[in-house]
Amino acid sequence: MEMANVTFEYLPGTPLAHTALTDINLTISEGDFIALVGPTGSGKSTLIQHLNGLLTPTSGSLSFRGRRVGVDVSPLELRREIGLIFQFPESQLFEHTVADDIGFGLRRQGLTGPEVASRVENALLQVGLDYAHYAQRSPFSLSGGEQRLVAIAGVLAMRPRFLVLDEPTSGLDARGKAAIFDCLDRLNSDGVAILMVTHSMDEVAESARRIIVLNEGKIVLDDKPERIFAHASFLRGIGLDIPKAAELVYKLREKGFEIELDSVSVRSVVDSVAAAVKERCAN
Amino acid sequence: MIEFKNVSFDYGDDENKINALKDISLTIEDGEFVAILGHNGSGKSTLARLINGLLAPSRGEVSVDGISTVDSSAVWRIRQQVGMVFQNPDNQIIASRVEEDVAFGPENLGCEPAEIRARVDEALAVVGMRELAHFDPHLLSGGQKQRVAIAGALAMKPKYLVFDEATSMLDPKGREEIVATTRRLNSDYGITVIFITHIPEEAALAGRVVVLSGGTIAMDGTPQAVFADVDALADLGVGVPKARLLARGLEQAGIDIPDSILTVDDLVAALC
Ligand SMILES: Nc1ncnc2c1ncn2[C@@H]1O[C@H](COP(=O)(O)OP(=O)(O)O)[C@@H](O)[C@H]1O
Ligand SMILES: Nc1ncnc2c1ncn2[C@@H]1O[C@H](COP(=O)(O)OP(=O)(O)O)[C@@H](O)[C@H]1O
Ligand SMILES: [Mg+2]
Ligand SMILES: [Mg+2]
Repeated sequence: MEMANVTFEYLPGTPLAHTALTDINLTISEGDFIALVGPTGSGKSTLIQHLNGLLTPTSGSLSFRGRRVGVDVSPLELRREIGLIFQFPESQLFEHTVADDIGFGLRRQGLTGPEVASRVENALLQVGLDYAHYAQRSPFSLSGGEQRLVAIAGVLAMRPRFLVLDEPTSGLDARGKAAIFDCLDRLNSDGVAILMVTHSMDEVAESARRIIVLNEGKIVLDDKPERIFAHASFLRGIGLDIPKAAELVYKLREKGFEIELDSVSVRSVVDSVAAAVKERCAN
Repeated sequence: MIEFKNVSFDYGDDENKINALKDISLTIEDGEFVAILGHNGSGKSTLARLINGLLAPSRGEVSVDGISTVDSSAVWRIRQQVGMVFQNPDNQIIASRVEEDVAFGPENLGCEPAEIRARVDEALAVVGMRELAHFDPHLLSGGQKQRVAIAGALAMKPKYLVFDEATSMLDPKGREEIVATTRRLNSDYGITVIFITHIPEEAALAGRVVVLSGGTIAMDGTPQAVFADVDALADLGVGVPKARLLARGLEQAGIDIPDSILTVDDLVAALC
């Protein structure tokens, strides 16, 4: 997926006109795992609604596998390949059973009986919910975390190759968050590209391999996590956090420790810090 | 003082009974700042609603300052004494001006206009929203809306404030605003705070942490004591502050570190 010079204005030509995105250039490849971060109002939700054709750029263009969106490929076709999961998607659940809810989009595409059933079963498996235990239950009898997984399964049943999620873990407990990340990691290792909007830098540090920072409608950073968080004071200045693991490394460096930072995950930071501390003690 | 004595609560009828709380006993003293953690469905919101009498216990007794919440002559007094702030800022705002929204409670109490004015001004000043008194609350950020909701609760002059995941729909800046405001209410104004959250770093700021699991109290202690056992908490579906995870990783790598560390600054101090 490629965005070239995309600018987007809400309510153009009115007194309320507001430019939410300015000159966005972005390429997303198969198998990417990207976190899209930025302060509230920076344009994250506006950007991701372009990715599956819900919004069309005021100027600039999008292309998918080299075909121009809106010219060679219709928004409808795009939506089949790119699954978009809104914030609090569980609020859209409405069917009597979990299986019917997950199968809804498939039936609307004209699929029937056994094909729907097998895809529903598979989608539940992908989000880590046991078919026998969940399929015939009412979505409304489930916990908030389980409901979120069912809503995600409804999108996975369409077999997207690219999954876009707007704050998928917000409001969930530790177990719910872990379940979402297990699911995303599994999908990604099967080659599904992931782009998730999040506020939690600690989550970003554990999963994403690339981070895009938006501020006031512009991309201000686009890089690997360990390089992004070297801009700690810039990030704090625009109201973003840095992961605790990266913070530890920077604060120890200020105290004279020599620590390499090749990943910002807890595990790898623990290894680097332990090595540096032992080295210092040995001297 | 808030007291739960052998409290159970069931939802539903006899056929479809959900036993949401099971024989809970808990005392919260005046002036405490208590964080409540627990997996989804562990009973946190049920516990919150029992405190101000929105729900009545199925068995046992809940009392506020020694008066049972089911004592019908005390219901209004308890509602005034125990303020609640909920998760979704948008569901809590009714009026089209910030000050009108905050005035809603004291108006319902039947206060005089001058008294209402004084209470609204003070409540907005406490949460740092006085300049926005004339604003349409719908145009505010999530953190600002939650501060209006807090001001609305404060205008009732409560002794206790219960926050039910009040930060979970906010961005980091909004969360910080709310956490800072609640800590000030506790330390400077002596309001007893019960703070339900999923975010371990927020719970670590409390004086006491209570962990619920399956409708019972699984842990109750200082943040240092509760967060010491990372594996036990994971089994309860509860996370620990990231700094605690880093400290534990280092400990497992053979570095001597106390298990009471909850912040990056503490960790840096322990390593240097
Ligand atoms: N439907 C809309 N009409 C007008 N302005 C909008 C609309 N949706 C969002 N905006 C504005 O566009 C900007 C970007 O919003 P959004 O993409 O929702 O940001 P984020 O998701 O990063 O919080 C904000 O200034 C917001 O107020
Ligand atoms: N209105 C209700 N009707 C039936 N069951 C409910 C209702 N509200 C909560 N429950 C159930 O009670 C238990 C405790 O819920 P709750 O107190 O909301 O937990 P928490 O706030 O910790 O997520 C859960 O099993 C939940 O499904
Ligand atoms: Mg958004
Ligand atoms: Mg709850």
